[in-house]
Amino acid sequence: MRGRGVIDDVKRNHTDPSGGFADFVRATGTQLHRAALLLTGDHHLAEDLTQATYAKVFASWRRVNATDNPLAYARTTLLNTFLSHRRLRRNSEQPFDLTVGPELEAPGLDHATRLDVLAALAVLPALDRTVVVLRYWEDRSVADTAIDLGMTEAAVRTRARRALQRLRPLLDHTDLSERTLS
Amino acid sequence: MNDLDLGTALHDRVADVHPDLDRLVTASMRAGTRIRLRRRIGVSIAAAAGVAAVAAGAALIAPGGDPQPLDGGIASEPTASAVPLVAGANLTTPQGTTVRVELASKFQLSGEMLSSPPAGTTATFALVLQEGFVGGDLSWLTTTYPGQIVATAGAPGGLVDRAPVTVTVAGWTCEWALADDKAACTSDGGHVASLVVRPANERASWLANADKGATPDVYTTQTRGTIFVTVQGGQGTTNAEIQSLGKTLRWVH
Repeated sequence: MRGRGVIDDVKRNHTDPSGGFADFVRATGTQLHRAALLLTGDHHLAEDLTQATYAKVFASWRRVNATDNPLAYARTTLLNTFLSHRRLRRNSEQPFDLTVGPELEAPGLDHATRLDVLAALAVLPALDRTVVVLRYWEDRSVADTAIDLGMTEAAVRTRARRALQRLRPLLDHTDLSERTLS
Repeated sequence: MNDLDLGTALHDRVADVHPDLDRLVTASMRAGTRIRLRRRIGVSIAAAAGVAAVAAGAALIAPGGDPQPLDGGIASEPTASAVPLVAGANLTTPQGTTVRVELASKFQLSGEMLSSPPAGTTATFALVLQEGFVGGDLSWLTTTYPGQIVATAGAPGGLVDRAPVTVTVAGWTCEWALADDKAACTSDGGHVASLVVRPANERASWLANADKGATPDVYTTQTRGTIFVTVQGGQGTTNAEIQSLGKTLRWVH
């Protein structure tokens, strides 16, 4: 994610009663919410996911704010929260299902009708969707994505390539870039 | 969308999405404070269970009254300069801010999880500070007053103290999380939906926003006092189910 300058400014601001947390959310909330929307495909679920993420960040804010990159912590928390809800439907802090439900099967779609980007992303398994968001929306490198998700770089490339292959016929694009090798 | 790569397509798709950041700050801090509280409770309970003979807590007092000793409890020894923990007391934070103690009582935090002390533990007391200190670092309090459970006035409560509506349509079951202003609903068929309590003064803007209430997959009630309720679908839930669920809601009070 971008915007480190903003975050640095936030970290230096200790005048508000939240210890800079409110400013941090205002500086990064739009970006995280948009990522959450791409992951969940639903505005309301994205709102829940973003709130759950920032709640966890706030619970450890003093420690998080002392790190070099609080936004990286928040992003990792967002991803983990999203992916963990794939495995665990119920959670004491966030009782709502944050996922978009069973992935649509691409063969069942009418490819003649181009899909909205969110609907197309919903075709992908959650982990592939997460790879796509990191690689093509966050503009993270293969290496960084692999670290973020705790997988090998080869696995990231494979998932990214597979995701692009599935997305291409669903979107009205002619040149989806296969940036899977960088 | 010819000649656009996927990255551009993704950015374009969400470029006009602008969350309500003020609401996000407030809701996140409230939920995060509850996480902190639960962590602290876990520590407090563990400590209490290990030292059963020592009661935690310094003082208990009805709001506005005079300090009184706890029933049967021996206060943890505060530091020499510590102000007794009583309602109305003014405490000075290490940062020099003064916060007022609104309430100090046994397990009275909005019924979420502190309605009664856990079995086998000694008394532990909840301290609720005034609204506005929700984001503050409370570690100085637990250091100065060991054994206390500390919450903030904004932490436990939601917009309502009781479930404002009941669901009357057959096949749906809802579980309220009042502190989150939400209920999680599940149908017999495994579909999910959520009820969200919102401030009445936000209804007009909610209904005017295509990303919020102005969509067929959301049902919005009329206002009732200071609130209104929305129904939003989740996994597998159709728009018709959401509308049906919403139209059968009944106000409790």
